[in-house]
Amino acid sequence: MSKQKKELAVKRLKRVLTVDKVSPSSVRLGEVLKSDLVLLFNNYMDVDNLQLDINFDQNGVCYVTVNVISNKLKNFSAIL
Amino acid sequence: MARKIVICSGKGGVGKTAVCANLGMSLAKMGLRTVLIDTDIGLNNLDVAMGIENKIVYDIIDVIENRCRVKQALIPDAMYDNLCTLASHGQAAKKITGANIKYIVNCLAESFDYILLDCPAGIEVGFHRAVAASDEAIIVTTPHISSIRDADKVVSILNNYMIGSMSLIINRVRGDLILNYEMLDIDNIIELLGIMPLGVVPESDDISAYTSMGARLKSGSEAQKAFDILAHNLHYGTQKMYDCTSKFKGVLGKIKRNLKRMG
Repeated sequence: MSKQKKELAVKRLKRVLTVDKVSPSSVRLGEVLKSDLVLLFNNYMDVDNLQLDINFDQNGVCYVTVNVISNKLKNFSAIL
Repeated sequence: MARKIVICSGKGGVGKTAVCANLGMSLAKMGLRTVLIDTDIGLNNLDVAMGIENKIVYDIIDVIENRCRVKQALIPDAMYDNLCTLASHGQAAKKITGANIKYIVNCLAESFDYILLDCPAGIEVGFHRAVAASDEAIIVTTPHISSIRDADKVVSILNNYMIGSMSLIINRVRGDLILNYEMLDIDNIIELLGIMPLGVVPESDDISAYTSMGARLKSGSEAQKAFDILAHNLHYGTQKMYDCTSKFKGVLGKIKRNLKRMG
């Protein structure tokens, strides 16, 4: 076996270990967070084309990317 | 007060019991009072590895079910006065809990320097029982992807326990395969698992042969040297590593590698 094949084995192991750490529970948690955040934005503004991505890395760190265009901020008296 | 260490792996067949037995013997050889506890109830093998299967009068189940005291169930080693084994057997009348094991471990803690718990394979009830009674963990793995993957899962589970420290033993390492790029090397495994290495044990015909005979490793053998280094690292906190590749380096080493490949 060449050095390349050993490197391939290491890469494969890394991939397996990474996939194992992204558990279904983190995906579910991401969905719950997403719906809460959408609700939160809607409370303060009329939003259009809300793009919200939530990802967890292998260490459990959460990355939130929000891309939103606000048409109109709501009056404070109208905030729920 | 004894150090209470669980020896676990996740995957079966990686050599937990052999590591537990031989590490215990090396610690005893250093003069440390050591007790080995078989918590693999139902699939117990520590007694066979220690060559004491015919000496068992009482075992861990008898202690839990109040048929004897803890010290009555300890089986002294034939070679080292300061080494004892608490064996287990197939069946228990009632459910055994982590608290049962913890009670036994605490009873022994005053009288010994080291308590090594041989943990069952898997991450089921038996695993949690053994871990709950321990303060430290040694994770045994082999340089194979399936074993490393399971070790990684065990590390994640152990992070949820109040485990003081975790260390890694890489068992069944073949220096010839590492030099031929046919086996993951030690540094890769340590880096990926991210836990402190305690040491390396080479693949050795001696270990399986002597374990099946219930005999001791030959003094001065490569495997014996590796276990002595492990015991030294464990007790003194050093990080010396047995070099499995050294005898396969150079011109003579290359010949040995080729001969080994040819069988």
